[in-house]
Amino acid sequence: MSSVNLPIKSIGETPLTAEGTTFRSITETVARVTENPAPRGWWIAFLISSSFLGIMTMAIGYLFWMGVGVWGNNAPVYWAWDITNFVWWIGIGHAGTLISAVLFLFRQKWRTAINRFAEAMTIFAVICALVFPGIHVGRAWLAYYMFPLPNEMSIWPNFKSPLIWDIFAVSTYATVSTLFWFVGLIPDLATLRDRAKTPLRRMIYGALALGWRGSNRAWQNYERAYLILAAISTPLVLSVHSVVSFDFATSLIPGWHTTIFPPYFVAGAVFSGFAMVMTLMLVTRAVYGVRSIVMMKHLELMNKIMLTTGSLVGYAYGMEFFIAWYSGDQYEQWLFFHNRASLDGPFSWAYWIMISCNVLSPQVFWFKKMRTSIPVMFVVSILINIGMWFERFVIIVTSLHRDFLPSSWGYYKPTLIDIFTYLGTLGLFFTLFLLFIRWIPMVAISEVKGVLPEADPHHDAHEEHSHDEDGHDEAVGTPGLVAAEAEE
Amino acid sequence: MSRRLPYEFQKPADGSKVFWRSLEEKANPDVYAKQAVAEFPQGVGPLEKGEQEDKTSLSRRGFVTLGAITAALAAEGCARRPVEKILPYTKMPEYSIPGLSYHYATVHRSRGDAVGLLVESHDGRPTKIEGNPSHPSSLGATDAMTQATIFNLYDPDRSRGPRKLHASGNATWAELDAAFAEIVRTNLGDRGARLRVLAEPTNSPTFQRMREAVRSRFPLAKFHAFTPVNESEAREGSKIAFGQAFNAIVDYAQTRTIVAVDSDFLGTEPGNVRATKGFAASRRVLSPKDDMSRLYVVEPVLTTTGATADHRLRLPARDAGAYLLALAKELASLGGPQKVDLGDVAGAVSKAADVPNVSKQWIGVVAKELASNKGKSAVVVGSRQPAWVHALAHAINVGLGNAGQTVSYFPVAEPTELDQQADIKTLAADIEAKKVGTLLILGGNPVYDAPQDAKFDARLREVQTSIHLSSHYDETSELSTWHVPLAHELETWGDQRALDGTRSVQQPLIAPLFGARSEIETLARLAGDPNPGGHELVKATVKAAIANPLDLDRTWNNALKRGVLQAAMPPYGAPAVKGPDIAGAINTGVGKAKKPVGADNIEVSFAADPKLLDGRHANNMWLQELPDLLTKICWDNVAQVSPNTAKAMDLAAGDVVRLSRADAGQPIDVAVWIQPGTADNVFALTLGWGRQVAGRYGNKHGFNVYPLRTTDAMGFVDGVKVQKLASAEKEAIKDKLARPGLAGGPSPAPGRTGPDDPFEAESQRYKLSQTQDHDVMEGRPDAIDATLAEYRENPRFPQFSSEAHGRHSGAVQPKVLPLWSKVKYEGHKWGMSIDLNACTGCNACVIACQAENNIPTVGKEQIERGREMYWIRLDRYFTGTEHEPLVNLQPVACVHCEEAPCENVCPVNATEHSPEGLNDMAYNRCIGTRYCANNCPYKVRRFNFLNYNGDDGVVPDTEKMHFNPNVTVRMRGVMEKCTYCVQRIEEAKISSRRDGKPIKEGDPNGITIQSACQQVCPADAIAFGDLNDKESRVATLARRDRNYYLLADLGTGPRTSYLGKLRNPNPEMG
Repeated sequence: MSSVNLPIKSIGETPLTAEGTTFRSITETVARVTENPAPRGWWIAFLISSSFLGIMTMAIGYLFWMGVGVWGNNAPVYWAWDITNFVWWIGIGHAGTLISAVLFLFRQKWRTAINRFAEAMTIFAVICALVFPGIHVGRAWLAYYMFPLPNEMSIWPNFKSPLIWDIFAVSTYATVSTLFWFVGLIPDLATLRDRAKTPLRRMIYGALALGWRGSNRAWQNYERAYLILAAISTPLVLSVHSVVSFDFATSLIPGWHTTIFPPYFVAGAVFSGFAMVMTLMLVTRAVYGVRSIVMMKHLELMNKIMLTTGSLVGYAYGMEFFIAWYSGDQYEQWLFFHNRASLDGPFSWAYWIMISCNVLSPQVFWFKKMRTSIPVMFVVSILINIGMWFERFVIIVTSLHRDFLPSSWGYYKPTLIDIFTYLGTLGLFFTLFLLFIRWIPMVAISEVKGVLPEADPHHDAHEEHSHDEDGHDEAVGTPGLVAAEAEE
Repeated sequence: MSRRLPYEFQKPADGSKVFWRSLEEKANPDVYAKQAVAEFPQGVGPLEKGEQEDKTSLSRRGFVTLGAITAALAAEGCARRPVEKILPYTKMPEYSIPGLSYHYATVHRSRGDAVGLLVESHDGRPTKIEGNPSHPSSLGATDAMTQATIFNLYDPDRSRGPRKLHASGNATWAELDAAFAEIVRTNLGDRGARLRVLAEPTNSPTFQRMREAVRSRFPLAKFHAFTPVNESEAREGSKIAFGQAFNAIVDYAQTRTIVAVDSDFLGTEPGNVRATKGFAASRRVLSPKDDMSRLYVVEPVLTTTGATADHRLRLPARDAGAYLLALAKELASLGGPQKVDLGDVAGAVSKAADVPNVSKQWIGVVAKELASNKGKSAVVVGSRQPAWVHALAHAINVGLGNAGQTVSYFPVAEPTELDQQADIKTLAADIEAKKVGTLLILGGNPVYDAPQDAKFDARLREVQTSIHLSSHYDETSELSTWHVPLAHELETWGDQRALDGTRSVQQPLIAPLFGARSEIETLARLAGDPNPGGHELVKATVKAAIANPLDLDRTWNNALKRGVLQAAMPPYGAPAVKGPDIAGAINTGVGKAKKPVGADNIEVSFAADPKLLDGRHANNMWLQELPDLLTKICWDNVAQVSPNTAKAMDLAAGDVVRLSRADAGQPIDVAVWIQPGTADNVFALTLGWGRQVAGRYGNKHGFNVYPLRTTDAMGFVDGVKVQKLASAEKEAIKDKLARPGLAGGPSPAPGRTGPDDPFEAESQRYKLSQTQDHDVMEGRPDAIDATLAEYRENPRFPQFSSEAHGRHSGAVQPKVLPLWSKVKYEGHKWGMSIDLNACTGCNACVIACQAENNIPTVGKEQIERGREMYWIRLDRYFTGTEHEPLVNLQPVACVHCEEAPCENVCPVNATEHSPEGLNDMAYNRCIGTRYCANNCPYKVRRFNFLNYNGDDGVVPDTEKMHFNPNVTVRMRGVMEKCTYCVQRIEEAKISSRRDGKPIKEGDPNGITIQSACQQVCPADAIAFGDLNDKESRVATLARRDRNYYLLADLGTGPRTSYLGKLRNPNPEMG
């Protein structure tokens, strides 16, 4: 039999869902969240996050009115919280595609519990990220100059500039992620349409479901489309953050001009993305009672990934020091040994926060007890989010504030507007997220059904090793079909 | 690589489409093109380049315009006005071409000196000041203060009409004239017995003539002269030494050894521009064979001069005289060929005691060097030193044979103005004795800056009628019964006399903006002229001075054209020294010394501020913002103390102390700054700050130190009590330091985000804004220096690593291969060379660049955030110890990299390379990603974080008038930086194309391009030009052995190169 169809060992021995989970219970659990009135907690959370969104709108309005000077950016720290936030959000946006596409291609079926969640998070994080390139420029109303639009002056963007590469990389990523997410949603939207009790719901979900009928042909096309999109998305996971890292790596500023940046940024992005998924999922799981679907097993696996990527990032940090020493470049040595590591450096506090959060805190996951403790993983996931924000801050600000000529060295302090804008993007993120869990199935119903034992007609302990390959493939290859049919 | 293609159109390739005008042309386009150029030499060139209009030929519209003007002029008929040719036109004259600038020669008073100027005027608006090359005080250069006076002209807070005491608005000129007539009538009664005139010391012959006219009408009237930073002591010293008041002018170019005793002759002393020129010439080293002069400086706190010194001794200002005395004693004791004959003075100096903290070398070695450079040395003394020190210096210079060689003596313009301290005190005493009925104050601001013991503010209130002529409604105007606006130098006629007697006519470029009068016009009125005109007054003076009255017009026109009316008078070579008088003065002076300066006897020294001078430039925002050379502080003054003193007194930078004297003066509060190289137990203050009625930019910046200053302590005083202020006391002085609330911000820029508190929230220290807070190079090869000996050993020292002074120096060759194939620049290849050995850090280039390129000021709060906008900055590094620092200066502007890191990263192509190698900025294309500035290793790019040039209605209209119309005024969100003055390059190219003159330096028929910073530099430290022209100065300098490129190892290929700095220490000094 094909080994790719086997779940990984730790999972394969036990079902991916809790005992007693049925097709009906899954549909009920997930769909009722969108159908029942929102709980009070949702409203409170929504109020808070939309207030922050309002603050962001006002902060950005003030920024547009006055100019970039309302932020703390200065000479030599021309980029600060704006680009830090941009890179941080883009990084967070990585887990979605990784979980959805890469794990899908690797047949990691445990992803089904979290992929919808992660994909939504990706899109919202990318939206938050996209706020910054637009508003951080000095003359935002001319930001369209960055697009290759035909114009009477025949001036094109400068294709040598990594910022232009960014434009293409991020917009491609946003488009493909959205498509991927939406395609995955179609069968579930159809389920909601079918369960709808009011004409309005039926109409809206009906329109969104694009006339899904669950026919065999539809499932075949759907699966094919999903696979293709997954295949397109996968390289994007690597490309987006690699390209974002070029913003720094192709410059000549010590601390930026580093060949290790592309892999290091990708690892960091996955790291922070998983941490964010973890934080959000722990809350949602507790609030909406989807414990039977998102199990401790999933959480533990995610913790293992965080341990891995956290250690990769830690290796990169160490390697930067080695290269600084080995290259003999005095500017780079100054940056790493004085600006960052030395306690005399004005921003060493930021560096050591980063090290503690990103490298030290995930090390607790070496222990199974810690790996499976909800409070521990919650705290660690938040620490990682903080640490990864500081990583970007450290890269951008500590490199800029003291570069080549000591006469131009400076310091950076954020203003209230910086803080409001950042908190505001969190508001934007959570507002979108709350709307998502309120109106859209937060777990991929059809996909989870596909990993239930019932979805595999041949699933039997004594039959497992003897049934023929084709039969198995057929069943697993169209899990949704089986699930949907069973539902009807 | 389209970015570096030349703009010139390519010849069409064979077979491609050719446009032709005739068959002949089609057949032979090349020949025809040549014919066309020959036939229409002016028209064809520009049109070929795609320009829209040809500026010289007369278009249809131009013809109609000219016709209309001619008709209008004819219609105006024969109502002929007296022709004052230089006044800007109100009716367009025929010869004026809009858009082209003109230069007019005039003159500017700078302390006792007069600096000749050429002022650029655009359509009747003076926009930029340049030095006049044919004027000896300028020689083509100016200093920062002179550069900035153009802002004073357009200062929005200049007073706009006469004002009467307690009247709420402006009075009319008619009311003033009526009141004035009444005053004249009253005073005529007693022949002026109760009439007094207080003026600033003058160097104007017309002023003197008017004064005599007033005296003849009011024989009993008295004139007083006072200005807070004056030459009284120097003149008194010269009078003691020679029996006559002289201006001593040192020809530094001829000197081998200079000993400056508390003299900032390169910075704030009179004649600084000429001194810098000469000094730089004496240190110009072109090859290892050349020699350079050596400068010894004795001073309490680092100044421009001290920063340039080869050996510097930090000594309290009071001990400077004692040092000179000890030096004289050593000189007198030398024997053999080095014998120095001090004559009668030798006896007086033989009693000199040892000076504490002065090593033997500083006496013995310096004396030896002076004696072995007889006739090629100079001893100069700062004007705040007492008269006997000046007298002693004169005696030494004469004894060394310097008089007549390196030092020349010229009679002062006005010998009656001797002791101004005494003069103002006499005036105050006379007011108190009710002897004064009418006081006319011509310029100056005595309520603010008179010595404390004159109590001038109280006295002024007692005067029945006081008229104050001043540019601003200031502290003195507030207490005067009448305030009259004083015209700016660029608005009125006048004449001035330089230190060496060179006379120039001060001609206006613009009519007074708001109506104003000059001093001479006011005096003329007092003398009975009902409606005097400055033009007639000055011309009459000139007429009286020339031998043949028929020459008047020729002389006058020549004077206006050249800027020099009468050349320098012949100097008194070596006046006879009055030895006994000097000896007497020394004995009296030395006798006054009390206990030594020490921890229990703190000295305070008062110096002219390098930016605001005595406070007259307080509302000049350019100067307010200009970073001080040594402290790099903007918008404030500080009390500089040494690290030792700060430690002993537990002071930190920003702590506010109260300085008080037991016997005299009022206590002052001032923020402390710890400055390396300051003498211990000294608080070094600068004058002119802490103005409360200066204007929107000058109010409440810095600390007013005048209350501590009295007539017997104009320069320095010891026995000062120092007390650190507690928070309650700081709270009490808050309203003097900053305007409350967000609206009354301390800065001209918009967008303050924090509330306005002069003190830091946590530490409760006074907020000080600096443009550079890191003082050391951290071992990097930035401002590279070596001693003369090291240079001779290794002439290419800046290009290789060396261990000179224990520092790594030397810039290695690029490690990085270029990304693109090298471009070969044909045609022009612009470049710049900056000689660090010449630069004294006078800051003139910074202000010149600001004036030329419309660079905004941003205000104290924005400076604190690190958002200054200067296109050229002066990096200042300290090496050595914090007690005895060496100063390395480095002007840095955009270096126009050939492999510019900024160009690659701009996403919108807003910064590009020109075919001549300029790194151009397209402001309208820039969206402000700031990526270019991040990637610039020199950090010379500046970003408009806010709308520093103001939104509509925010910037006063007058301030807009100083903008250079050839340079875009940038809005917010746009990146900017040095352009190598591209507008000047383009102007030259246009006129070269039009007139057929080559752009070639040094060619009498060619056009020479000068960047603004180069043109202003009194030290000739900056050379700009065409690197492809092998003869040009910049190309020559770039081939010198000391040449190096800043951060060359990054592979940026800068076009600006530096010549390494040289020091010339005396090996015997150890």
